[in-house]
Amino acid sequence: MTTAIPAEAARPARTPRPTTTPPRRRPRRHRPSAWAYAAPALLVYTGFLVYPALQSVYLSLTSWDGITPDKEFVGLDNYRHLADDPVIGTAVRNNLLWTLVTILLPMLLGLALALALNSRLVRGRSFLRTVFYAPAVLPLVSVATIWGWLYNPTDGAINEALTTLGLEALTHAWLGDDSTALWATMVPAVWVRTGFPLLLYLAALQGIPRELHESAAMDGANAWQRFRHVTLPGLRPTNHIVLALSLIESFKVFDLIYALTYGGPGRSTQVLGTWMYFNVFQYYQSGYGAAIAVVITLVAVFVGIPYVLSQTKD
Amino acid sequence: MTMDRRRFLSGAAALAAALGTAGGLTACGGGRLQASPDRLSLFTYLDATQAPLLDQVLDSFRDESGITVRHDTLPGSGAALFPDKVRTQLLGARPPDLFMMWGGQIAAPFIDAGQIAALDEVYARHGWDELLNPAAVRDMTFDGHRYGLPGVIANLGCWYRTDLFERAGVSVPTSYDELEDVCDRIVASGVVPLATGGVYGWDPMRLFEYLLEITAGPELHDRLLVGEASWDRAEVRDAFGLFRKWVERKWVPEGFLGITPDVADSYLTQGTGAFLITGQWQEYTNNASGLDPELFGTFVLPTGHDVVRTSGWTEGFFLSKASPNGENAARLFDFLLTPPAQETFAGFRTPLTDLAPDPGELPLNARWLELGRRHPHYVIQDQAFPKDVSDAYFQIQSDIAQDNVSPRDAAARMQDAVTTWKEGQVR
Repeated sequence: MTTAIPAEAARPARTPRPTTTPPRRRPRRHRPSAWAYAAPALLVYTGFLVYPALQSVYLSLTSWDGITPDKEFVGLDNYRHLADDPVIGTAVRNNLLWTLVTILLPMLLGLALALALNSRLVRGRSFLRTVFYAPAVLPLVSVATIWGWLYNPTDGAINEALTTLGLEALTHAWLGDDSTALWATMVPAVWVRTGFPLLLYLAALQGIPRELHESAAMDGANAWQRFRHVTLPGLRPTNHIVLALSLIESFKVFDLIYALTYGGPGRSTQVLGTWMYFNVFQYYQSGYGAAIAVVITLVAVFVGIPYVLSQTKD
Repeated sequence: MTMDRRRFLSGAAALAAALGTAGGLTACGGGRLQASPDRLSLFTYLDATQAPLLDQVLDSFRDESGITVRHDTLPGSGAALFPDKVRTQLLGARPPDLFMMWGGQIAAPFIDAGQIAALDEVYARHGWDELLNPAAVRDMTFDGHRYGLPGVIANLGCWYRTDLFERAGVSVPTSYDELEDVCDRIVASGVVPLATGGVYGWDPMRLFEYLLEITAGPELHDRLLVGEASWDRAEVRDAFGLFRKWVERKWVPEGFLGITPDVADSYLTQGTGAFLITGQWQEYTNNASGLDPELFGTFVLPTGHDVVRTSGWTEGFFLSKASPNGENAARLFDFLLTPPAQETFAGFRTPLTDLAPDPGELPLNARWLELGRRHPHYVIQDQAFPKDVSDAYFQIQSDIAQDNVSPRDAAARMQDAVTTWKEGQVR
C-alpha cells in the first residue's frame, strides 16, 4: 500500500517571496530626461561624426575633384576602381604587415617590460616606467624627424654605430630601398607604441592578488607554471583591450609613413591612409579617395566591434 | 542661485539647440559675397622673411589707394599642401579675393574648375605683356588666356662650394662632359658631388630634367612636357641611362632616396656635398650659415645646345572668380608691378624685364637676375605634369635609382603614365 504524498509536499520548497514591494517603474513622462542628458553629446556626435561620415559615403559615389561645385554621381565606379589600382594592392599588403608587426611587437615588449617592472628585483621602477613610456608622448612628426636623422645613410647614427662596431657590411640606405623602407618605418612605430601596453599590463599585473601566486607556489608550481596559469589568465581582459585598440590604431597608420617616407621610395610604402590622402588632397580625386576612406572605416569598425561588445559586457 | 537637475538639463538642451541652430544659420548665410569698396583679402604661403616685404608693399598700396588688403599667410606649406588650403578656402563661406599659387599644372585644376578669373582684359588695359618676362607670362597663361599676375620667377642652377671645387682641382664646367669629369674628381676628393634628397621625389627630378634637356634638346623637351611627343624614345632612355650613371658613380649621396631635401641641402653648408641644383633662395641660406660668402658660387648647368635653358617656374597672384572686388584687385596688381613695389617684394626674382635692384648682400641673386633673362626656362617637370603623373614619374625615378627597371622600360612606363593623363583617366 502506498501512501499518497500530497502534491504540495512533493514540491521543493519555494524560495519565499520578498515581503517588500518591488520598486515601481518611473512614470513614462520622466523618460525624456535621458534624452536631455544625451542631447549635447548626440548633437556633437551627429554634427561632427555621423554627418561627415555620411557625406564621405556620398562623395565616394561621385567623381568629385574636390574643387568644382558639381558632383557627378558615378555609383560604385570608385569601388570597382579599387580592384584595378595597383597601388591599392601594395597599400593593403603594407597595411597588413604594418598591423601585424606593430601590434605583436609592442604587446610582447610591453608585457615583458611590465613583468620586469612589476618585479621587486628591479630598482628604480618609477623612473624606468617613465623612460619606457616617454616615446609615447612625443608627436609622431617629431618621432619621424628623429628617426629620419638616425636612418640617414651617410652620417646617421645607425650606420655610424654599425661602422664603429665593425659591421660596415650591414650599413644600408634603410629608408631609400624598397625592400627595407617599410620595415624601417615600423621600428619607430614599435618604439612609440610599446609604452601603452606596458602601462596597461603593469596595472593589470598589480591587480592580480598576490595570494594566488603564493598558493600556486605552495602547491609546487614553478615560475613558468605560475605565469602560465595565474598571470596570463589574469591579463586576459587587458589583452582584449590592447589588441582591439592597437588593431584600430595600426590600420589607420598615416603620420609616420607620411613624414618618414612620403609613401616612397616610389610608392613602395604607401598604406591605405596615405593613398587616400594623396588621392583626395593631391590628385584632385576626392570621390575615389573617399571610397578608400570608407573602406578603411569599415575595416576599423569591423575590427572595433569585438572591443565595443566587450566593453558593453563589462 | 541653486540649479536643480531638471533646470540644468533644460539649459543644456537649449544651449545645444541654440548652437546647432546658429551653426546652421552661419552655414546657410555664407553663400553670398558682397563687394567691399575699400577691402581686399589675400592668401599666400610666404614665410617670415618674405611676408613682411609684401606687407610693406600692401601698406604703401593702402596709403595710396585707401584699399586695405588683409594678408593671411600659411608659411611652410609649400606646393604640396598650399593648393589644398586654397581649395578649402574657395569652397568655404568666405573665399579670399586673391591668392598666390604656382603656375603650370598646380594652378590648372583651379582654372579647369572655374575658380579663377581670367585677366586678359586687365593685361591689355595696362600693357603688362610689354613689361613682363615672356616666360613668366607663359607660366600664367592657360588655354591662351592670362589667368595670373607673375609675382616671382625661380630659376634652377648649380649652387656650389668654391673651396670644395678648389680642393678637388676642378673649375666651373662648360659642357656636360666636363661636368661628369668634375663629379668624378669631387668623389675622389671624398665629397659627394650633387647633394640631393629623394623623399618627395622632386629634388632628384631636377637632375633628371636637366639630363633630359641635354638628350632631348629644348624643342623636344617642351613637347614631351605637354604630352605631344612620346616618352618611349631613345632620347628619354638616354636620359634615364644618364640618371642611373649618376647613382652608380656615386655622384649623388648613397641612399639618397631616403633623405629629405632639407637634409640634403645641409650637405652644402656642412661641406659634405659640393653642389645643389636649386634656386635663388639658396643665397639666404648661405648667408645665414655664417660662412664666408666667398665660399659659394653659382652657374648655369651646361646643356650643349644653342639656347641654354634652365629649369624654372613662376609664382603668381590669382583672382578668385567669386570675388566681387575685381576692380580693386586690378588696381593692386598694377601697383605690385611698380618698380618700388617690385624692388621691395620680388627683388632679384622680379618678372619685370628692366628692373635692376642693387646687389647689396645678394650678389649671386643679382647674377641670376641677369642669367634668368639671358637663359629662358622650361617648365619644371612637377609643374608641367599633374601631381599624379609627377608621382608616377617619381616611382620610375626611384626604380631607376635602385636598378629595378631598365631605361627602356622606364621610358615605356613614363609614356603609359602620360598617355593615361592625356586620356583623362589617370588616378
